[in-house]
Amino acid sequence: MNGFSPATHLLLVIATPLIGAVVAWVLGGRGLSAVRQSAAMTAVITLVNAGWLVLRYLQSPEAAAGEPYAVSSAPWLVGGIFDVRLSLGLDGLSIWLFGLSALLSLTAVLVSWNAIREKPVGFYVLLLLLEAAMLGVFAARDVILFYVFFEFTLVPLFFLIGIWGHDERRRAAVKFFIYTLAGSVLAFLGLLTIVLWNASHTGTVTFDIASLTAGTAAHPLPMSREGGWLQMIVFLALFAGFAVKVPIVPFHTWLPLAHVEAPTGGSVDLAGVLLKIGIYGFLRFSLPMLPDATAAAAPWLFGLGVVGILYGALVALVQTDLKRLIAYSSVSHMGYIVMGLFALEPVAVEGANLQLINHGLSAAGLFALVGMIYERFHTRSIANLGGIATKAPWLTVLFMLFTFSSIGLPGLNGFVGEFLILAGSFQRAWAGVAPSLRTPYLIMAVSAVAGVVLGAWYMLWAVERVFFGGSREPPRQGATGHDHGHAAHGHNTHGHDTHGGSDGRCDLEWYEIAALAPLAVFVLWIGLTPAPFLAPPAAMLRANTRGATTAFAERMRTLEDLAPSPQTAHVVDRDQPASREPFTLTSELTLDRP
Amino acid sequence: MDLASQLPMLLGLAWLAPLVSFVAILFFGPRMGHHGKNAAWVATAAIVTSLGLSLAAFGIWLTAHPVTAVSHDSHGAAVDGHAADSHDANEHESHGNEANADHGDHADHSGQHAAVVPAAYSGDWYTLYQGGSLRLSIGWYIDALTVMMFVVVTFIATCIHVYASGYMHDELHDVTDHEVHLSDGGHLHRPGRFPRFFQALSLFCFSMLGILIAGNLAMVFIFWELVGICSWFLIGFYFERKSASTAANKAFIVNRVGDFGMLIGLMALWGALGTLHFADSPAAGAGGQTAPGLFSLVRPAESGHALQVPDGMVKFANASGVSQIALDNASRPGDGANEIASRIRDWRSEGYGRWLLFIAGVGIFCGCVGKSAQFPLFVWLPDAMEGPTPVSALVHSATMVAAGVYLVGRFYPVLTPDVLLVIAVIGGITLFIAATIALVANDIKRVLAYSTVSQLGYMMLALGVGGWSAGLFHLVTHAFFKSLLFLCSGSVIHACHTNDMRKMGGLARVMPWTAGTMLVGCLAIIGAGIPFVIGLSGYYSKDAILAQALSYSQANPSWSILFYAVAGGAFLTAFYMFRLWFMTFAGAPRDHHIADHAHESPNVMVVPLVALSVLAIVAGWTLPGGFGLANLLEQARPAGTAATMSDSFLFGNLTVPAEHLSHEGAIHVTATLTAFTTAAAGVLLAAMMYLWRIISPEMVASVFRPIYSFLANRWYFDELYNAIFVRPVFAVASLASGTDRGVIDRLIDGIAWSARQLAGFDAWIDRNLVDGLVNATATATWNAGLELKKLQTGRLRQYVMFIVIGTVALFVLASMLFRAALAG
Repeated sequence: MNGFSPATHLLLVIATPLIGAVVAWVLGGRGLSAVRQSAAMTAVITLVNAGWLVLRYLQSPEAAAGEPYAVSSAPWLVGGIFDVRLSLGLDGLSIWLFGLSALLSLTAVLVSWNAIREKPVGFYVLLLLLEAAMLGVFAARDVILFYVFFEFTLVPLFFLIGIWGHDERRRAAVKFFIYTLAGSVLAFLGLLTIVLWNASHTGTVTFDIASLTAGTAAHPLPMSREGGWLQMIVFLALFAGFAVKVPIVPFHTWLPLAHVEAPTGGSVDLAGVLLKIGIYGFLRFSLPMLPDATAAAAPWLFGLGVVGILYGALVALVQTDLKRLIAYSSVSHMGYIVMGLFALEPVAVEGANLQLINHGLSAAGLFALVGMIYERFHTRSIANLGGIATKAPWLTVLFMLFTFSSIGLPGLNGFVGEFLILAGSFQRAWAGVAPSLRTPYLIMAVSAVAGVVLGAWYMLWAVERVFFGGSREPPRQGATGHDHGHAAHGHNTHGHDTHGGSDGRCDLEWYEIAALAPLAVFVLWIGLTPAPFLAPPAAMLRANTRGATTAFAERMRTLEDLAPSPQTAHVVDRDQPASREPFTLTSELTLDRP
Repeated sequence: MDLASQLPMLLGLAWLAPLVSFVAILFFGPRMGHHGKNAAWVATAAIVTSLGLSLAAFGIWLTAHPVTAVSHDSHGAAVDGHAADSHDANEHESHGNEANADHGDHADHSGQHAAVVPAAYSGDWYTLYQGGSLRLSIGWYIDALTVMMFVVVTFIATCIHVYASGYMHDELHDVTDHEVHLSDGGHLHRPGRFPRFFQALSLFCFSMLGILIAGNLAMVFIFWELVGICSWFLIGFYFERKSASTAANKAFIVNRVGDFGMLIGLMALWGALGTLHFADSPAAGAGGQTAPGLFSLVRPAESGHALQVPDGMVKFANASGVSQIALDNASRPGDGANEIASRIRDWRSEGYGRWLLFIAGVGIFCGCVGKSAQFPLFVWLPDAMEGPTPVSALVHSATMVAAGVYLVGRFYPVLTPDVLLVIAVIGGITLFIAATIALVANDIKRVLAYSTVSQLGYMMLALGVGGWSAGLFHLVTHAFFKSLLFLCSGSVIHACHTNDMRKMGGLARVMPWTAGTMLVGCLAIIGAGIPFVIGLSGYYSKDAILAQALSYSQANPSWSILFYAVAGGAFLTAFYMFRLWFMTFAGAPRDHHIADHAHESPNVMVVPLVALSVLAIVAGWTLPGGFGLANLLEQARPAGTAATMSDSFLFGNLTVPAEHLSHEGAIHVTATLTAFTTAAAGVLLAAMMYLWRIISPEMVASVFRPIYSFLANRWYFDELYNAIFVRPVFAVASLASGTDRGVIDRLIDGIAWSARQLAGFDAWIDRNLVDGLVNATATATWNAGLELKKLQTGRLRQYVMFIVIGTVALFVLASMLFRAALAG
């Protein structure tokens, strides 16, 4: 089909940014425009290629059967019982994130078009390396390979923040790097333990994710006192890595700092893709391989998700820096995703998985736009901005679009994900937990709905202050006190001479529209026809959460047995039946339903 | 004639026409003529198309379901057979007169009523999401109410489009906004935004019609939010003004607070019942089967459409019982299911699931509280007058705020007497508070805004006391006269360039058309008429509400306050409306500068006024033969709601009397006379204070100074909410933000710092101890290396062997440790 096999196609997609990085390096001597043009060309080629591969996947029989696609495997360290392979492939779980990485990489290149003039070669080379790493993470089918790519996403971003960032860039870069690394080392130890456990039962030291999933299903890690709670320990180790990456409150403090200091292109990749790797890790490893521990931790993580929603929203409400505000809104949105995932309810999990993409699009768009505002007015302080709608109408329209997506306006993508997450969470709270947990679960679900109100509040209030009004004229000639820091990095001398004419207008340039238009298209597309976006991952999601869902139901049953027997509780207390109704399996209830 | 496929097609197209206009103006607006002048034509053409299609649907409906007088046995005839074959459409057949067992003393009378199933057509166009039992779809539910509301909304929207194309002409060239002060002291100059206005107007009409046609609650919610965002655009149209953008945000966020409750109601319904469709719909996957919708779940045909807690909710609430039986019959699931089914009746009588139904009803009503600006969420509506006046007329009289009342009416069969009482009480509080504030407001648009809030309270109260048709009847008549009043006020503002009534007066001479049509509007809203003979539209609808409230008060004496609220509200309404009219049009001009420059508005603005005032007069009339709004509404009356409903749950014994009882002699006469007397007294008092000047308003204000300032400050609601909601939220948010930097982040930094200290210590050890050791070891190794040199054979095979042995040894070691750990 089409001349070359899907596996080759996939390899090519991942290799293209690497080749592009070399090309950009070689062209380095020819100056800025040559470098950025070659980087953009690379990103476009990768995107077209990746998009084509995604389309091929969607039409393939493997997609229909829920099997991995474009699988290639080369021996790496193979000998005796040892079996490490360079194996790549895509499946329902990774396909959209893979596509999103390619899409946002182009956005990242284009938003840096005018912003990055210092050391452009290094910048674009690192950006392309980051793209390759992001594509690789989602295509890896081997633990070692996954971990290599996972760590490899850190390195380019570390330099991107540390060299091209703002005032506090060094601190931000180091904090980001150390924090994430510390977590991921623990996660790696956890993964190695799974490998060893599997090896001790099968006799083969395989690092293949599919085999490990099957192996842990056949021989689950012990989840009892006798077994040393090994499954829980491993779960916590993985949690350390993924929770920092997501980030789940309270492991989030690196995020606002990293975002505020990162160059726009870095922020786009960070918010759009890198945060998703944490959730992807949960879905790929924790849930299928450690179902019992997941079930035990699920109520706590569900709660942490809700805390994240409210906490992120509240902190966002009082931010004075626009970029920081968006960063905290990310914390809030990732809270929704965590909540949906650990509701362990099919509808909520599907919603959470879609919300990964939705947040990737809207947060990346918002960060990109904040970067564009910064380039024009040299400030991100909400108090110093105002009335942008008159000066840059298209910038305003796009900002509003992504804002509406972020606050879950129907017709745009955010609504679908949010609604499904809430529906599934309520389903879990009403009908899927033990009686003692029902009230806490309901309180948590209701609190999550409060996030809907807060979300509209902080976003629209920010829009009002930044874009509306007419009385404020943001300083446009670099007259603010902040500028000494940027002058050294070339932010200050450019920008407004290319943006804006004599009439005070400073609307989007062609490359900025090109950076954002694809995101806007997908925001609308997913919002209007979510079904084709929800369908491909559905089978994989069901398979990967089945173990945890069953374990959770089992756990709730045990809790129920510990509670007073239903007979004694049956004495009619008519006024408050809700407080003492034990749980039933959701599936039982759905069976009853027409 | 195939009604089942024609109606959705006609109304569907009527619904989509404004969307087409929105998209067209969005992309080509600025290029539509000079400054986008023709955008008005595009938008108007679209809404006229909608009106035409709605009228066509209305005509088709009338031929199939002729409207006849409501004699109590003609219902069956009104919904005669239309055995249309429907492929994807689903039709509810009338089941004739089924017996209705309960409802004690009125059983003989209400039996025929309760059994009537309204003619309704439903189906789905498009499925947004399908997973498990959750189906989010775009579909339709069309009955007489839908058709009627389509005509009303598109008609009023058409008038407003025409009017706005004149009113908004300032936006056709560069605008200097005198309300915006720039930092350099000047005013803001900006290009006109004529097309943008009509773009938002079109999207708004599309969203509103989407709510009307919606076939399920999820779709209602979708368009509910879209209406919210359109109002955000329209209220914030002059976004350079801080007051406008703040008002827009306030409207949206306050509405979101209502949506908070609505979402919870939605989740309760879906979680327990597995459907959000109003009507029965084809079941997923299975061929030919139908899944019951909300209406038939809550009011099943088998029990004569009497309200009962649906099976799903009973099972849901008694999950322990269900799982116990399931466990007992684990081997024979069929028996278990049978036993559960047989026990449901007992469980229901034990009261399981009633809370759930109550929460669902109140939750959905919360959304309506937001949209229809009821207490305690009404604070957004008066601020929303920051939008251009045509927007106020459309958004805040006839459509957006109507959506809440419409949804209560649509969702009516699911509401229990307790929920209805909540609705009635909220409506009563709203109508009273808003009316008192309107007494002292001096901004002409704000008077109308508070009067809108108050009238919406009337509608809610009417629905709550069992007046389904009274409430919706008033919704329609109010839509006509309130949009008329708003457009009249717009005409006045257009002429005077001020909203302040204290600067007006004597305008009747210069703008006779506006004064005349506004007088019609005022008379209509106070329900003027000759008792028992004829009246303006408001006369009929207000009478119906009073009568039903009286009937309810008699049935539930402890809640007779509701009747007094309605009667008192009628007095206040008459007073503040005529205060407005007298202050604006009567007497001598107070500000000659304004009066001299005032002029009658252009024809494009006057014609809609005349059209609307005609409807404000005749909309309530019933023609000989029975054709009229009230009888048309009866066609859509939800099955089972014509009967008296009694229940005793949260608020004690409640009886919601059947609506037809209020048409009977004593109640009707009392209500009509009360309405007439209170309204007349209100007008008289207004005339004494503002026309004849017998009583000085200033004196009254100074005598009742504390009350006056309390009302003039709008009961301090904004201040109160600021103190109990906004500030605490900000305090908590600042605390969270402080914690974020001061505690969590510092903790992380502290850990990092300790790690560094440890590393420093480690480095010291490294230099002084380890290094020494290593140096010693190195010497030893060197020597050992010399020995091992002998192993260096240079043969690859041997090397590989060493590596393999080494790796295996490591792994054996690791696994042994690992097993030991497990065993330990």
